[in-house]
Amino acid sequence: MVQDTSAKRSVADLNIDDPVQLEVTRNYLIGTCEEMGAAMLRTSYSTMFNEARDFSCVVFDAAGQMIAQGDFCPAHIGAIVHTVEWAIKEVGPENMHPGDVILHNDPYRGGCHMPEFMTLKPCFYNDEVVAYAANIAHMTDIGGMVPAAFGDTRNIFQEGLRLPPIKIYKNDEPVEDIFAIITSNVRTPKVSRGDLMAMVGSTYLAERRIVDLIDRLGIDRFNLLSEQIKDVSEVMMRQAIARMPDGAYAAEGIIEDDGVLPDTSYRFAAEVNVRGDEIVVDYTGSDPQSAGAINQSFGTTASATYATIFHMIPDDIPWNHGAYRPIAIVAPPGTVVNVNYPGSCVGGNSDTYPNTMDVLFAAFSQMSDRSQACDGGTSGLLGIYGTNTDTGEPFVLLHIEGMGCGGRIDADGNDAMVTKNGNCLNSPCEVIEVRYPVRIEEYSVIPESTGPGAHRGGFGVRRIWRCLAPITISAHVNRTWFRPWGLKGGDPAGNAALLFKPSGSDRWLSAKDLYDRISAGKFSNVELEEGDLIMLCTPGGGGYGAPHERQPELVRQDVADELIDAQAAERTYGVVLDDAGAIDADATRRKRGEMAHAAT
Amino acid sequence: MPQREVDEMPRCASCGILIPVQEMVKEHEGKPVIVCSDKCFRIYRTYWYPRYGQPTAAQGGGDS
Repeated sequence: MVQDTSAKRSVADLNIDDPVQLEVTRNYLIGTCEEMGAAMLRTSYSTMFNEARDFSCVVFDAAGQMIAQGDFCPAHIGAIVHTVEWAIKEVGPENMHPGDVILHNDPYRGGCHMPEFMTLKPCFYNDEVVAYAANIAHMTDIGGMVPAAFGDTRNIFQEGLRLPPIKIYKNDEPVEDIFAIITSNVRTPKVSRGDLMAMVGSTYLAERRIVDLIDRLGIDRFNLLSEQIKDVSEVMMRQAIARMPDGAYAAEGIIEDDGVLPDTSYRFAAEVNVRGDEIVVDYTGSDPQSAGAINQSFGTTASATYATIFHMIPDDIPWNHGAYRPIAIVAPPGTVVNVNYPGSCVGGNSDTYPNTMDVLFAAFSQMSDRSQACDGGTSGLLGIYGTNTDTGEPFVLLHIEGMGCGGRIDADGNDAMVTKNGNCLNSPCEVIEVRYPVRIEEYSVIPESTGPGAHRGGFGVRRIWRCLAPITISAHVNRTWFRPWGLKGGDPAGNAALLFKPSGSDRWLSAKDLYDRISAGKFSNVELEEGDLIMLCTPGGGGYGAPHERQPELVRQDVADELIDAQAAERTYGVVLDDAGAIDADATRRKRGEMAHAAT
Repeated sequence: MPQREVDEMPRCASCGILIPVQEMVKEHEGKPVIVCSDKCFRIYRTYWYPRYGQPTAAQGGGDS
């Protein structure tokens, strides 16, 4: 069924009068977003901002629709289209004044999860709101029962401080009462205030850039170009969707272990309905919401949906509000994909999100070669809380770990990458060791973690931490039970493990066995002593295509790089190497023939 | 500034999002339906309702 959902069928129909000016303006606005990010990077306090880069910056027009975004975190950007819209409606443009900045972190109001704070600045020109500058950034600690929020929370109140849209700046001055409430409820008040000010500062920078632009263009021209920016993206997106075969493509996945109920897993169901030039993604059939933190808010589910669909689109489409218009979502309330108040959802945006993307990739794989095998699917989050032995001040470190990405039709999966939802960086060992009382004793890829395939999955990593002082650790690690699946005949990858070895012990044991926690991967507030060791192993990515179809030269190279050994090369890939490490072509042909015969 | 707490907000009958303010109450098949946008009302008419029928109040169906 092809529906005529748009009267604009091609970019030519839009009658763009000055395409050069349109492109220059569009890129100027994207540049403004990038500049906002650079300002936050250089002025923030926490490693989540200035190392992990867990933030995103965007510009919206006066109608509350996104006209520019930078290359930041997909999880933020997909949610912020809803967060900004509802914050503007809830506060009301008529109640906004020059010098105002609004703060918001409510996952039930379109947000992704509570650590993602949003600042929103109405940008004024001749006393009229002409645009909005906004950012979302991951605040390391937001109070609550778990340092850095991730663990075995059971409701939103345990996660930390929830803020509906409120003004933290009025008349260009901070509302100190609001800052006092925030800094009194977090473990690291100086860091939190510093990060908040970095967010606010970047919105001021954007306002200056937008005013400069309107000085040159005039407000009417700026408004027209903003509409054209969105319309071009919408038309290009609809054209790309229209090239997909109409139909319903369903897939399911499992998210394991909510950290609260023992040995419990939850079903995620998704059906991708391609209807002409629009897509409806329907999550009906997903399980009721969990007792723990793995639930997704609507904003998180919407964001995972947008991010996956954008991965599936080959065209170079400018990502703004127009690109989102042809996508619709059905997320039944009270389920794992649309949590009801006051359900916990902090882990939904970090660990459930990539699994939702993997389910959607499995659905899309039924009609497109652009899909990929399952990722490692965890952010491997460790929240570490203690006292800095040099300064005597409390610290909270939220560490994001890399994992292996799924193989795809034209390439192996990336190694040791932070999940796609974050697009973040991990923190270098040196930075961690300088700032916090820990030492990294090992950081390496795990050879056996990859999912074999014609294009194998990426490798997960192993990191071993030594505590140099007493610390409290919490965790939210996924895929300790269920392995990342392969696609099109590819094999599954290895899964995750989080283990501890107390000082003086010779055994690695899980938090479940050692500290009497319900879960080995999702728990809160384990007390460790100086000398204790922590080992986190992250999953690899699933393989794409049958392993015995992998190019022999790629297998030989993996052996030469010591990523697999010669026995695995023969056993898994059917590639026989001689004593010098060269490919034995005849033996390989015979071995692969046997494997192909066994597979039929 | 915020008018309602989250437990007082309706859900969109189509997408399921909580609607903090300015919900739309549309009429469909003689019954009120709460949606968040014109787009969602179109999806409700062309996708949701033909597939699932009348929503419950928690899903954005009217209270009548």
